[in-house]
Amino acid sequence: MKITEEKIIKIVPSKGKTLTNGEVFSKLVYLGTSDKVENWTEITDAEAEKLQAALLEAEAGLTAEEGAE
Amino acid sequence: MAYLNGKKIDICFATRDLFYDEFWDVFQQNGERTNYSYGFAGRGWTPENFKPKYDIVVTEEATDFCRGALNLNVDLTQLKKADGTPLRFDFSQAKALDGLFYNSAITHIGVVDTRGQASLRHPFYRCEAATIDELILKDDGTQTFSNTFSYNTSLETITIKGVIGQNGFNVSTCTKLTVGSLLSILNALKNYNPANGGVDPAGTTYTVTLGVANLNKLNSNEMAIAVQKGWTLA
Repeated sequence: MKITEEKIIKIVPSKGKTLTNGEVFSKLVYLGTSDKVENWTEITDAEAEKLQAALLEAEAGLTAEEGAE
Repeated sequence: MAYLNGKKIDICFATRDLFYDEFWDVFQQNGERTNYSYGFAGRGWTPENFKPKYDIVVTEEATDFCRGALNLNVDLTQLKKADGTPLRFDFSQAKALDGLFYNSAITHIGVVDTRGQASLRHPFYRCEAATIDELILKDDGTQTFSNTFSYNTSLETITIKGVIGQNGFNVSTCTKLTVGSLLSILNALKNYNPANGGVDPAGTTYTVTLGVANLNKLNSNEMAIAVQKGWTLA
């Protein structure tokens, strides 16, 4: 019988902020074994939305608009 | 009453069938069509006229296959050909699947074999499918993902076969996903933890984006499936 205690590091941003590692944006992060807290920073929600929209736009002109066809 | 090829036929049904045959024989090149790029794109396709005569087997491209088919709210797994046999969709040999079901109203997608693709670029972007029976990925985990499921807000059930080995897999807008589907995703993640038999990530950190709504459906044991394989959950 093997008993282990698994700890998962959970990161939650401050109010009005979003976590990012430069590529991913999220309001909640559970760190993998090879990841570090230092890899994640907080940015404002507005800044996160702007960056995500820019990434979407850069990807072959995708938009968040419905019925864009 | 009239005769066609020596057979007595009802003229009304004969005319309809003649037009059906003539159209689909041309459109699908008598069953030999192999390139379906934009094949069923646009709002002109509806459940009433989407009646392919031949199986859809793509060996060239299926780019934007059903892009913008906003009136095509059909269950692809229930469609039948004129002879009553199931209509088959085979994308396993396709050279491109970008935008496959982009912004379409398809409600249920069967098996999508993407092992021929190096990258999955928005195949289900803003698609309305609630179910994708199986998404088959390569076993080597080399496929990249780019807005693969963005804004597919209807998706509830999906089974992943193969390996997710790259960053970019994001189902954060698929807030209706079942726990079973989420576990299918986590179980498909490549093991990047050398401490438990995985490969060395060589300095790269790997993140799979499920979104807060989906993360909150998982308990710590379930999250550990990903975390212990070296994946960050976001």
